[in-house]
Amino acid sequence: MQALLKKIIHVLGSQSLAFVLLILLGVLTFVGTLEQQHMNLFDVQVKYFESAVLVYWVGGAVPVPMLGGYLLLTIFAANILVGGIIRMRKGLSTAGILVAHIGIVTLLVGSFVEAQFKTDGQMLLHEGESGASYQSLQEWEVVLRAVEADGTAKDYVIPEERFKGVEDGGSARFSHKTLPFDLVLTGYARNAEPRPARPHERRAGVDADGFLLQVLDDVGAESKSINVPGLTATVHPKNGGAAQRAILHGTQALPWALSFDAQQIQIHLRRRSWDLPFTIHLKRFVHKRYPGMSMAKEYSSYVTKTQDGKARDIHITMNEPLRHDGVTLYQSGWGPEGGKPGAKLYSIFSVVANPSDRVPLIACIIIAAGLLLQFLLRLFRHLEAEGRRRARLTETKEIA
Amino acid sequence: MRTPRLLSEVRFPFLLMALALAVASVFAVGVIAAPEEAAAPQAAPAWTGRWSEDVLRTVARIPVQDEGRVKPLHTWAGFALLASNHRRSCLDRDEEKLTPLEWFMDALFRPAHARGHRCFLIETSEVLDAIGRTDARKKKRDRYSYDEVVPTDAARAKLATLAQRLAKVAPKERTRVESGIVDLSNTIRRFEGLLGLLDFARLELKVGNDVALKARFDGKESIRFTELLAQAPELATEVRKAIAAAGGGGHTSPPAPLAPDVQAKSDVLNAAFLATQKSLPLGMFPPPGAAEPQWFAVRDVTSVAMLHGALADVHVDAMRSFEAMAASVGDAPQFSKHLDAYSRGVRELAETRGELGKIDQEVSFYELDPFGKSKVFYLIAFALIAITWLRPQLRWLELVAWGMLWLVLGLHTYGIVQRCLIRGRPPISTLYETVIFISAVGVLTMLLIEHLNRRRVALALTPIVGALGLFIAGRYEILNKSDTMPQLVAVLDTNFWLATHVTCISIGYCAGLLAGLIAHVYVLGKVFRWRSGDSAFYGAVGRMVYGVLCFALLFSLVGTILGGIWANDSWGRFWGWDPKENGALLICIVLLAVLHGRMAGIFGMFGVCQGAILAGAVVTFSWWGVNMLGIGLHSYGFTSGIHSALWSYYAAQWGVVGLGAVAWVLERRASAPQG
Repeated sequence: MQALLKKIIHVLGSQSLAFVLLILLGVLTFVGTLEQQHMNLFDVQVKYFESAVLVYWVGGAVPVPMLGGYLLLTIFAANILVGGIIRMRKGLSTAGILVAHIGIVTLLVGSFVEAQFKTDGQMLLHEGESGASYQSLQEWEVVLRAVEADGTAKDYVIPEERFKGVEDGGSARFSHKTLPFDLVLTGYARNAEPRPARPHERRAGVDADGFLLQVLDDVGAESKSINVPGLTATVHPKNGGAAQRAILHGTQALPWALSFDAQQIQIHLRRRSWDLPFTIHLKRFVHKRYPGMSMAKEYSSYVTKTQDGKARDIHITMNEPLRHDGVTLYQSGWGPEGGKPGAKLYSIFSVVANPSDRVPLIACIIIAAGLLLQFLLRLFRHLEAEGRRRARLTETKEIA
Repeated sequence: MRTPRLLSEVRFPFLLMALALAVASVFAVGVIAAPEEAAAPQAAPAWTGRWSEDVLRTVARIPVQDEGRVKPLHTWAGFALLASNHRRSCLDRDEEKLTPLEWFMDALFRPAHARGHRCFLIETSEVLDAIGRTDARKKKRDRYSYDEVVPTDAARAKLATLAQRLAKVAPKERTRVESGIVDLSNTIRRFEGLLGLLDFARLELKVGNDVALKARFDGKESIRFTELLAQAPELATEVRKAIAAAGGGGHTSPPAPLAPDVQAKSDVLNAAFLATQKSLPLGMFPPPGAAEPQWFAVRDVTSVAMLHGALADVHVDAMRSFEAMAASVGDAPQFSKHLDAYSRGVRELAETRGELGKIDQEVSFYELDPFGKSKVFYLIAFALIAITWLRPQLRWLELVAWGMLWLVLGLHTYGIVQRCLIRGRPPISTLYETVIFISAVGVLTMLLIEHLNRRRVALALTPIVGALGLFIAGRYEILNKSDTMPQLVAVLDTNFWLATHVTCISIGYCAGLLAGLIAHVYVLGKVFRWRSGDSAFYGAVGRMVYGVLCFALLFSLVGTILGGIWANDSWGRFWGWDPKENGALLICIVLLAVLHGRMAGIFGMFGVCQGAILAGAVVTFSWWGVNMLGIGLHSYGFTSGIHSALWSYYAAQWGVVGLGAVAWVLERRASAPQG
């Protein structure tokens, strides 16, 4: 058993494994890059770089199984940790490599933390508006809001991963002891639009108030449009009353409202949302173009950040985000595009809460220091050897 | 809260658009009814001499605004001619070579003469076949004059119609000939804009027989353009009011006939308006106030003057100078006098706006042409080194080449520094600058390698690196068809990240390519059994490759991570698997794989060299290849038109690796114990 463990550790820490992993990672990166011509970036990330295994179809016909980014990078991290740090021969000649390996592991750990704990989304503010939350661009959630007779409300949130699996005819049932009904979600489609049901569909009773969801193709990289999901929600009252069905679609501005005695229930499919630890008020948005060109010279937002009653004026512009309290706000867009002079502008901020935000910088410094040290050590050794070679040559000439 | 703004504060593109529409609507009636005799260009001057050095020197330093920046006319003319003729010179009818400024001055002041200049490179004669302009005397790829391409209005119309139809086809789906037709049509249109830039200055506007109108111009039968400008606001207002009073002219009813006096005013205004509308939209008149960033083109000046009469004195003077210059072509002293007046006025105005700063420096930079000269000197140095291969005893010649390469590198570096000073940017902010920077760093690295490891391998490759890099830069300039000192998109407007990430990653590119280049010596040497048995030589070359790969890894890895940190500051994420990011990552992965493969004993130095050649191909993919995918956030680096060159390069690299593999197998078989 111990011998087997030793063997596994030996293989796991070997440079040969590092070589193989690098080749596989290179192929994966190359394929994932080319694939972006046909798929949108988000899908490519999920399929190639955030997966354990995948199948790549060469020419759309030949299936080739591949290790995904998550699995490769996990094995790679273990390989560096075992072979490049723990078992590595320690000495001056390997000091630089050791430091560089520590830097790479730091980077990988930072990436893992980011993948697990980072939240990101957008906040759109018109001039004069304030905001204290941001919405995900990719993730959705179903929210049930129970509004009591006295006006108090309580939210029950069903995250997307809980109903994502009901795409192919399946269903997901949700129940809560305080709610007077069970909710069944079916027919989730990542990109869909409601359409009127046809007569035979109505006769079959598969519609919801005369409508059905038309599943659409996922949006490709070439398109500027985005996926808008939809699903069918069915409410089964616990008191045995008749079930009610409705379509929930991402573009619906108002929730589906139902009444249970004095309690009103609102059900809404919306983008996943997070609260900010502060409020942002957009005072002014500035957009400048280069003279005679449509190219943007500058776009930036003059905002006021208010937290605990304290207000501070801040200028957010490209390459100069606002970092505060674990959250970073970036200037990412603006509108309306082609708006007439005097039109009220809006600013779009990318908002990211990433606990490992500064890890890449630290890792970069460690890696640079390690590689520089190693490079200089090798260079000095080479110069010494070259000096000896020249001395031998000179001696030979003198003897001759 | 927005407050009403003064005219001068209004965003100018909207203002100009509104003015143009307003002016057009005023003249809608006039366009329909304008008698042809309202305007008559003066007879073209018959002078056929050459422009004096003084005139060209003055013109070179006149500032203009184009592509969002103020630049000297020298630069503008150079790139305009380069875009149409693929070189910064052209031949006139008498086979005399013209500089861009001479070509520019001819187009402005002697348009009939300029129509004979061969300033259009047509890559394939099939383009002309398509518009029925086949010329049997010409080669398949040849240069043509305007008169040779579109000698008649019918030929011009045919080209325009065809190009218009093909413009609807997506650029990727056009054939080479179709793209050539669209490009030719655009180039011809730009040239026509240049030919017509000073039409207004040659214009004699017929006042007509209306007594009242004549009286406003001191009884003159015909007037100059600037004479009309003074009266333009009042006349335009009168015409507008008369049209409004007459009614009609909507979408369904024909325009009501105008009274003869109104028609006369409309005709003369219309003729003046039309005389400027085909002119090139080149910013030639700085607005008097610093608040308005956009310079006025000839057509803008006219529109503003006609509707608002708000033309600054300096602009009226400038327009008068052009009229005077147009009238004194061939009269050198008079022409120079008026040219100086115009140049002085514009430069003073630009200076008060703080926009004159680097104009003279930029002219000196392009006049010196440090990269063009460096390219030639690199080739000379290569020739000297080649002689030493034939005559190894000429040690002094090698030293001359060595010294020359350092001097050329100095000139090359001087050019880069000059660009930095002119732009106020670090060495690299555009794709073009990556090429000149990488070639300079490549030359420096090779010279240092030769200094450390005197095998004459790096020395021989040094001039190739320099000349090849500058050749590619020159080709890119032609392909790009525009100024290589452009304005930057907002995300690139940061000198800190340009100086750190971009410089670092470019040094990584450079080192990766150099390792691949040196590896060619090793692999091809083995393939062709050059110095076979000289293991010391191959050992030294292998060590060079290995050392440069380490150097490449240091800069590529640090540069890639710095890029991620920049992306984190700009876009809110460290890594987004964007094609450009993946390209940089691929370089790091390949370099790491080669080094780990060597350390693991999977392959020896031959494998390292094979890997270095592949790493060079991966660098090229990352540098240029991903740009052609046309996807991702790094859209400012998109490139097209280099497919064949790139694929030829990939094929050559795979070919060398394939040959190397065959040679390695054969060598192994030969050295294997028999029996």
